[in-house]
Order: sequence, then structure tokens, then C-alpha cells
Amino acid sequence: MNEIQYINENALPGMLGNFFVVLSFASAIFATIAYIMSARSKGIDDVWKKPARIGFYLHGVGVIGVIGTLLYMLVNHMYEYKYVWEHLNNEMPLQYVFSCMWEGQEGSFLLWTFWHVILGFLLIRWSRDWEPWVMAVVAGVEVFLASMLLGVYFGDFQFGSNPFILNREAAVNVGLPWTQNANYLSLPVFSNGRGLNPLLQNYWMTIHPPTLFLGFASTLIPFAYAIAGLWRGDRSGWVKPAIPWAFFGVMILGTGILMGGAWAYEALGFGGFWAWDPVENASLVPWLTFVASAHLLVINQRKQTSLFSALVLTLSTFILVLYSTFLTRSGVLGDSSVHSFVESGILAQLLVYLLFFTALSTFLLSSNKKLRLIYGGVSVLLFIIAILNLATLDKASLPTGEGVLPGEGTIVPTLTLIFVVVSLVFMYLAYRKEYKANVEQEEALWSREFWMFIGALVLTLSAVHVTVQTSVNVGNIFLAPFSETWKSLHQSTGLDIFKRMAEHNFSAPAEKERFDAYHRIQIPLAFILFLIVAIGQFLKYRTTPFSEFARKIGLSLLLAFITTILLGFVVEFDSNAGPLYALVFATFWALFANFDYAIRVLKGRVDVIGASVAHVGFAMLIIGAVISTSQSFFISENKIGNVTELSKDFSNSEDMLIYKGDTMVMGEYFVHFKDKYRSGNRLYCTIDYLKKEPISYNEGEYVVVQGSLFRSLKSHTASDSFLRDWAQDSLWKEVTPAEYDMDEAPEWKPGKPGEKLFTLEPTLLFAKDQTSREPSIRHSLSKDLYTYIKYTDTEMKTDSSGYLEPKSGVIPFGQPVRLSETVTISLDTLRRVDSLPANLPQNVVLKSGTAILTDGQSTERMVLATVATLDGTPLVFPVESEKFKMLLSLKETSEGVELTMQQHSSGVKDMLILSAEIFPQINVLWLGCLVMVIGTTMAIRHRIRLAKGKQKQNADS
Amino acid sequence: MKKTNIVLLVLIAVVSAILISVYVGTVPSTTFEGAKSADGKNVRITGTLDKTQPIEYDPLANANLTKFHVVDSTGHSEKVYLTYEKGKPDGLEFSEKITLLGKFEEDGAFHANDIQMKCPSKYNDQKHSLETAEKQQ
Repeated sequence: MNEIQYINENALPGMLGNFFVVLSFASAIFATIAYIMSARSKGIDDVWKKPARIGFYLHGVGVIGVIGTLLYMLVNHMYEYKYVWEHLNNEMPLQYVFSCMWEGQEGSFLLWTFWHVILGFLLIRWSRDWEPWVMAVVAGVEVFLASMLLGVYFGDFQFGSNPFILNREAAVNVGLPWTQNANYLSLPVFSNGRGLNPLLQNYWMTIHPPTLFLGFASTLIPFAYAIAGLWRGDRSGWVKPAIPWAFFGVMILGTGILMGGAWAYEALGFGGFWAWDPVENASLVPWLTFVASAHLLVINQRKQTSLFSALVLTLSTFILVLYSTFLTRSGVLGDSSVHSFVESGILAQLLVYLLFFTALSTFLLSSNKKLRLIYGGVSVLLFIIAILNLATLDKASLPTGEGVLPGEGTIVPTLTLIFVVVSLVFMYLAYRKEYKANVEQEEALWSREFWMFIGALVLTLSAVHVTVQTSVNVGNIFLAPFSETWKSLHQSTGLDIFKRMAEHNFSAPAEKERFDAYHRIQIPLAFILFLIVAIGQFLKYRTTPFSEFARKIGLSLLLAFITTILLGFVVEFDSNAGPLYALVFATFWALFANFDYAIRVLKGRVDVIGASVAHVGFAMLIIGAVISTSQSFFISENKIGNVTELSKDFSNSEDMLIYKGDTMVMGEYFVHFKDKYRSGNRLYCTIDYLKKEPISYNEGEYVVVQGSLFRSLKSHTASDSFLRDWAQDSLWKEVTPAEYDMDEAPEWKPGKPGEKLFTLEPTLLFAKDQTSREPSIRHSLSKDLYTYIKYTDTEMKTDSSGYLEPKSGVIPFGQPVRLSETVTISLDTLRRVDSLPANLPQNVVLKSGTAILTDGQSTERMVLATVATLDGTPLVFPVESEKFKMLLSLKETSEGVELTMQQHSSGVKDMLILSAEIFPQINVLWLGCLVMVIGTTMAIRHRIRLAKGKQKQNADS
Repeated sequence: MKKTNIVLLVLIAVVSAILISVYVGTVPSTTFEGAKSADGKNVRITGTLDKTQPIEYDPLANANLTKFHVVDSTGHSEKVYLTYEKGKPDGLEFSEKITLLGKFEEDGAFHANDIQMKCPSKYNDQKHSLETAEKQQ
């Protein structure tokens, strides 16, 4: 077969990109081996360090080369490449090129790898005598990450996914006829790419992923130090250099997570900043354990009492980052997340990496040769059995179709479970043999290390809960192999839970349950945590005399009590919000206590108050979160609607109907629906917010409310609610329409529109197959006004003469029936007409009646009729209502008289259903985040100084 | 008793509480048949949109109510009244899989107050469009 010469294909960038991919992979392997050799030389005649560094620099060149090539391809719109075609299109502004790069799975791995490279460069400079060990771990991790970009096939098994693959080479397209067309690039489909999901086209997508991935990447450094410490046999020496990195990581990862929250709040229209979405949770869990491990490291620097837990948490933080990548990228979560990524076929690869690093970490925890040999042997054996099982498996015998779990039918889930159990047993044995001796003497109850340890434990529990709750689907995979066991357990015990375990179809909680499911556990845990954050700093290491402690803590406790009780008067908490109220108390205590500690004990010395400041920030963040979410309320109440129901409709509704050009009351504002226009793939609704001026009614004035007439009994200024003025304060009396001309009386209003305050423009965003709403938010100091379009007509389908699609229904006699948003019709009865008009055929039955159409302001009477042939076949004659621009016709059916209405587009008012919600005190949350970042930075600076001072001392002596 | 032991006991208690809360707290999945015999308890039903029936949404009457039919895993189709504060769920028409949370009411319809949908991914879409790349000429 002849090689096809494809026209206009740019093959060079792809070749260059592939060269960089291979370079980064190969040099990472080389750097790892060289650093291992360098570590083995233990600094004596270390000939390997230099080549190792060169290897890592080359790896950096490879990674940056890959990124550069990919950017070049994106900027030049090379749609022959799959990655470019999938993530970019011609319409997209250049500023989103970066977003396109990390939208896809390959790009996000690249971003992660990139940060590892940068952190690796810093470690080469700063890690001094730890360099060979630490960098061997970093380079080793890079081997795994770089392999994710290889895109090599071993039989059916895809090893990595390459961003430089051409569309015609992609597995899904191979063999399609167009791939044999030399000029395939002239096909219209390749003239433009698929583009970035419009939801992602905003500036948060430019800054959130890099920050988050820097946070993920920074978990590698404490991990690398911990591995290095175990490897060198220096179990405590690694702690000190790891501490500043750990807090740096905590800060960056925390910021990255909150940026995700801000994005969800500002742009995605999730209606809040935290939804316990699996992807959000996946980044929260490593942060929780990261915070716990960083604090345990601090204790360990003083007193080596919790070395084992510090090691385990530091190691697990990195492993949890891998796990969360596995969760979000492998598709095991399936349908429980709005933005989890679809199955990308890298499940097996990620699983192997995850298990490898778990095995490595566990293996190194013990220094006992016999234990290590057994554990290593068992792990390798399990891996070999898994490979053999997969290799010899009869593919046809595997279950397929709906509801099949990943790995079902293979023994991989069972083996993984065995591996986890073996690892836990090994960890326990290592702890008994080698770590327990260190904790011979009990910690005093009133010591800082004891409570910090408990705090770390609470954080870990919180992480465990979020992990288990998020991974319920993953749990099913491990329940499935034991279905029979659960079944028999169900039969013998009769417990429902075993039946459900046998069915193994537990699913993660859906959107609304989710809040309950998480808050049930997380709020009590957070309560305990903040109590510890409050008292922690007032306790000294080793032990504290209780009386001294009680004296110092008293002030902040009192303040917290007072504030919480005062707050209880100002804001209303639901009767079932007891735990939430308790949490508010604990956070206030933590806030005041840490503030107090910084001022009274540390005398506000900038170099040492970092931790207290960070704690204050954390407390503010949670206070802001609790208040803004629990106290949020809708100000958009529906005012136009079902007239018959309006007397009952004074209750809160969450969305408001408004017509274009109208001005209506909403909460403390008047809103004016000024304009609706389309631009690109967005639809904007312009809404002016006007000041609400008080309105006065004089005695004897008449108003109309919901079609009834009222007379004012007393001169007064209107309150917010007519119901209150009328029923409670007896300021109005309902009178008969005979008393006054209804058309003359104005509609009752709680105020009158004043000057324009501001304009909000909520948006609908049209993507290919979905519409999403982007909120428009008015920020002010004490609250946010959060508005979005709940519904608006996006297009009107009309026939050639401008009529909309007909609507029909059976019409009851003598009752008003709604025809459109404003118009109702009532038809009393139909009478048989014997003398037929001349324009009708004579052999028909005609029944006619008078219909009254009204929109509350004006009325139109028209004669409607049913016409049928003698054998009952209906003939339809539409009649036009000139006032209300609609065609009406009647016909008799077996169910009654059916009315058909066709509205003319000129009579349709543009309407909008608007939702407006107030989030009070949300700024406390963002401010808290800022304070936390500042505090952590101060603490890191202090730690670095301490570390440097120590080195200097060592050098001097 | 040593403090370590107390901490350990509390720890075990809390972990068990968490596991129980996660596994017992979740609403059981079932079919429409199972939902009818659930004695008014909330259940979870997974199925697909019944495309032979219309989706009714009248934002003027009730902006939060959407009516449609869902076929469950046994092929049984039932009318669903979804009350959802975001109005008609985005992309309902295109959904591949629907999970509903709710129960049968006296009117004979399944009243759901929560929905989860699996929508076709961008990737499936692409594959489709490239298979027919030449036809689009």
C-alpha cells in the first residue's frame, strides 16, 4: 500500500512534541537511577550527583518543550491534532488558550508535571544534603507522570495518552474512510475545532487549575522528605526541612480549593460556593490530611511522640492526591458529578501507580528486614496474580452492559482488597515493633501536643468521612465479589443492610441529600476541631498548670459566649440548626482566643504570630460560610400568576415573573426589566435596580389588589406587605366594585421606584447541547445580591403569518380559563342556533356563545361557535381577537368543548423568571481566606528563619 | 485506663458511626414497582427518559415543576412530577441516564424532588461527528 501524502498537514510540531515526550520520560528514568546511585554513595565520592542533576534538568526541558509545542499548536489552530481539535475553536479569544491546554486530561497531567519540575529545581537548590534521596523520589514520581503522556499500546493496553496524536491516527477514527482521503483537512469538520465548553470560558479557569495543581504538586515534597527519611534511616531528621514546604502546600492547596469555590459561586451558577461535589471533595480530602500532617510535624519537632502518625499522614496526603486523580479522571464516579471526567481508559494505569506508591510507603515504614521481605513478597505476588488473571481472562465471559462495575468479573477487586488488608496489618506490626516504644510515657492531658494530636485526628476523621461518602460507588466494586456472603448474612440475620450490600448498588447522595449527608458528620467534627483551635495555643508543650490556662482562656470564652448569644437575637437559626449554632460559637471562640493569644501573649510580634493569624482567618472563613449559607434568602417573590390562587400566594416563592419594560417591587428594590438581547452564544437580561421610596396613601384612596377593590381607612405609609396593612393593621377595607370605578384605581404598591442604584445582567450561556446560567452578582460589604435567569424564552417558533404554536384544552363553562400569562377567557354556555348564517353550508349543527376575554385592564367580547356536520364531524372556524392578538376556535369532542388558541407573536410580551438571593456576610469568608494566607505566609517565614538559624549555628560550631 | 486507649475507643466509635451514617443513610435504589411498595418512603430510581412521551414544563403555572416519563430498568414507564428549584433541568432531553429521588403520591405519579443526569459526553459526540465527517461535506 502506498503511503498517503496528506495535504496541508503540519507533521513537524507533532514529531517535535513526541520527541519532548520521550525526552522527558527517558531523562526522568535516568535522573531517578542516577539519584539512587548518588544516595547509595552516601556523599562519599559522589560521582552521580552531577549527572543526576543534568538528567533532571533535561527532564525539565522535555516537559517545558511539550508545553511549548502544545501551545504553539493551539495558537496556530492546527486542527489535524486531536487535542487542538477537541479543545479549541476559531471563535475563542486567545486568552483562553491556556484554559484549553489544561481542560483535557493530558493537559492537566502536564500542568501537574510542570509544577513538579519547578519544585524539583527549587529542591536542587535548597535541599542540601537531602538532595539525592528527596530528588530520587521526585524524579521517580516524574517517571510515572511522564509515562501518562506516552500513548504507547501494549496489545490492548493503552499506556498513557498522547496529546500529539493526529485525529486520523486516533484509535476511535482508525479505519474510517476519510482517514484515507489525502485532502481530509479540507473537510468542513476540520475547519473548526470543538471548542472549550463555554462554562469554562472565564478567567477562573485560567487561574484556578494552576493554583490547585501547584497545591497538589506541593504535597510531593513532604512525601519525598518522609520517604527519604525512612530510606536513609533518619526517621526524624526529615521533619524540620519538610515543615515550611508542608505549610506552603497547605496554603496553596487551600487557596486553590477556595478559588474553585469562588468560581462555582461567581460563574457556574451552582447557587453557592460549595456543593460537596465529588471533584471538590477530591481536592478537599488531601487538604484536610495535609493540614493534620503539617501540624503533627510541628509537634514532632518538639517531641517525638507522634512520629508514626506524622509519617502516615504525610505519606497518605500524597497518596490521596493520586487517589483523587484516580477518582475524578478514571470515570469510576460515573454519573455522580457534574464535572468529573469521562472514562479515559487510564483506570488501570492510575490504579497501578496508586497501589505502587501505597506499597512503597508502607514497605519503608518498617526497617525490619524480615517484615519488609514478607510484605514486599506478598505485594509482588498479588500483582503477578492480577496480571496473570487479566492476561488469561476470556474477554467474552466478562459481564457487559448497564450497571457493570469496573473490574467486575476479574479478581482484581478481591486482590486489591487483600492488598489493603495486608498493608494495614503490616503497618500495625511496624507500629508495635518500632514506633510504640517511643510513646512509653503518656502525654499530659493539658499539653499542647496532646490536643494538637487530637485535632489532627479530628481532621483525619473528617477526611475519612468525605472520602468514604464520595467513594460509595467505588465501595460497590469491593462489595460485588462477596455478594453471596452478604446474601447468606441477610438470610441469617434478616438485616436490610446486608441485602443492600448484596445488591451492591449504593450510590453517592444526590444534590439535595448531599448537604445533609455531609453536614451530619462534618458539623460536629468541625465543632470539636474549633474548640481545639481555640484552646491549643494557650496550652504549653509538655504540661500546663490548669489554673493558669483557665485564667488566660477565660476572656475569649466570655467574648465568644456574648457574641454567639447576641448573634442568636439578630439572625434566626432554624430549630434544627442546633449543631450549626454550636459551631458558630466554637468558631467565634477560636477567633477570639487566637486573636487574644497574638495580642496578649505574643505581644503582637509580627515574626511569631503567624499561626494565630492563620487560625483567625480559618475561623472567619467558617463563620462566613455558615452565616452566608444558612441565612441566605430569596427576595424574588412571584407577583404575577394564577389569579385564583393569589390570596394564598402571599407565601414565599423563590422566583419572580417579570415582563420586559415592567418595573416591579423586589425585596428592598424596584427592579426594571430593561432589555433582553443576544450576543454570541450568550443571552443577556438587563435589569435595573431602583431605590424603593416609601409611598403614602391618604384616607379614602382606592387601590386594586389581585382584582379586588380596597379603600384606605386612614392616611398611612405603606409597609412591605399589603396583607399586614390590611389584615393586621386594619388600614384597608375591601369594598364592592360599585363604590368606585376599578379602572381608575391604581394597583397597590409597597413603595414607588426612585433613582437607579445599579444594573445587573444575568446571562444564559448556550453550549452545544446544554444551556447554563451565569449569575450576576452585586457585591456589597455586608451581603451579596445573587441573581440569575431561571427561565426566559430563548426563541419563538412562529408560522408564516406570525402565529405561535397552537395550544388547546377542554374548556369548562362559566369558569375563567387562562389563555396566556395575562389573558383569561370565560364562556358561559353554548346555544344551538337554528337559523344558520348564509356563509355556512346548510347541513351543519351550529352552537354559539359569547366569550369574555380580559387581561384585568381591558375586556373584549366575542362570539365563538362550534360547527359540526350532521354525523358529528367538527369543522373548525377560527375567530380573531383583535385586542389580544390571538386566534380562537372551538370544537366539540367526546370530552367536552375543546378550545384552541394561537397567539400572534406581536401580542407576546417578553418575560423573564428571575431568581434573586441574598447571601449575607459572604465577604467574611473571602476575607478569612486572605487572612489565612497572610498568617500562613508569616508562619512559613518564621519556620524558614528558624531552620536557617539552626544551620548557621551548626556551621559556626 | 490510659488516655491512648480512651482515644482509641472514641476513634473506633466515631469511625463506625461514620460508616453506618454513610451506608445506612443512603436512600435505597429500586424500580417503580419497588417504589410503590415502599410505604411512602423516599427511594431512588434509575432509568431513562421516555422519549415517546412529551416533557411538560409551564414556567408560568409553576416554574419549579417539570412533568415527564421515565422508563426504569425493568422497562416500566411512569409519569414523574419533578419539583426542582432550578426549574427544568438543563439537558433533560439529551440525558442518557436519569436518577430520581422521591416517592409515589396518591395521584399515582412519582413525585421527585431531586434529579441526577448522565449526559452524553463531549467525547462521544465527537466520535459521532467524525464518523460522518465525509457526509458533512
